[in-house]
Amino acid sequence: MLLVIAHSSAARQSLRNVCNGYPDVVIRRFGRAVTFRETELGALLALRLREKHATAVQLERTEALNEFRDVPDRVREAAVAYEARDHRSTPYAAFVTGTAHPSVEDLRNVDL
Amino acid sequence: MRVRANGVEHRGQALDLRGTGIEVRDLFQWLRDETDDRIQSPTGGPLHQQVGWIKPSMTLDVRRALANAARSLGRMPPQQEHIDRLDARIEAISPTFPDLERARKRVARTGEELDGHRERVARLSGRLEEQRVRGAVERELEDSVSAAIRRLSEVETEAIAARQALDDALDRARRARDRQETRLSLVDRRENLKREARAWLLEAVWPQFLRAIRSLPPEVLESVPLDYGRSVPLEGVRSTGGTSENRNALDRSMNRRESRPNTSKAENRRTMVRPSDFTETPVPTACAIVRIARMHTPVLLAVDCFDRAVRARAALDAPVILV
Repeated sequence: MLLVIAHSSAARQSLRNVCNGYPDVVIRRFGRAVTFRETELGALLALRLREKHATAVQLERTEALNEFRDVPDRVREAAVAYEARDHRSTPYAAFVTGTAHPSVEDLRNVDL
Repeated sequence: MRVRANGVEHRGQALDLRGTGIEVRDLFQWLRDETDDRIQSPTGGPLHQQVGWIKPSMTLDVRRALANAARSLGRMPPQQEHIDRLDARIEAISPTFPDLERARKRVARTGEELDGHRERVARLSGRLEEQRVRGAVERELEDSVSAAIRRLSEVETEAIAARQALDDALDRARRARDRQETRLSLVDRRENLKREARAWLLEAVWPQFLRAIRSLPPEVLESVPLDYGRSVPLEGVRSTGGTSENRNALDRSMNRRESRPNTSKAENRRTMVRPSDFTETPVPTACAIVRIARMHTPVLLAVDCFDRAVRARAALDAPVILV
């Protein structure tokens, strides 16, 4: 998907206009951010906005995260175990103490 | 003031330049141009921009004009200091965005080159392998393979550097956006304070303004033509009594008593006049604003309610030119 973020009110207005003009290109609207279908038309609309508003328009290309392909097992398993914890109020840092799960610091600066 | 036009010099605080063939638009420009010597008078500021040329077709932002009038009287809103501080902070934030487009182009170009060189190395290595199997290796081919591998590693380095540069640029863009957002929220705060300041200034001169409206000569009030804009008929402006809902602000302000301790809230709201009630009668409204303001720049009067300039000067309490 193409993620279009408007960083000024003028850019936001243009984004709204584009969304109203081409509803079939829009996957979802989130106020000042919108996802477009990844088609050449989606790209045209996104680039037009960037051309008009320069740095006030941010464009990203996003894809769904496949945790079984993109994320190491230990991270996935830690997430599952944490959500199944006994006490809702236990923070993650306390939860992992004395377990084999990675600590916050273990994860922080490791690129996915 | 002194006006020199068409070889004639006019002097005084109340001039009548009707029928002299002077273009009113030019006259207004001269008044606002510090360097122009055809008119000698103090140069007009923001208030003069709003009420310095009174004509039936004018439009008036009554709130802003009244706020400027209050400023001309030296009134200083309590928000001013805060506004000035915000001005300085806003001025100091000027986010600079990196050239992301160049960085993106470089990544795209080096990526393509990398693909091309990988293909070339694979192709040449394949041919070399074939020759090795056949037992007849060309020296020349061997050389091009090692040259291609060397070049590939250079291109790889370049692609990594390009990627790194783009990542850095994206980081800088993110920080610039953060600063931009900070700036916008400061601007929001300043605009809110400015609105508050205008309301304060307005409040400060509102009773004076209502008194000034009521003290205008009847000709001014009667002169308002009925056929411009969405103007409200002014019949009954000077009538007394009556409770018709349709009466306009001028009418109501004329009849409104300054304080009505005994009236109910609902009635108070009904009889309360607000600045927006005056937008449809810009001529008398502008005249009243000029009257309460400290105005040193001559006001151009393109209305036919004053037959003599001195009378206009007395009514507006400011230097005037009938045009």
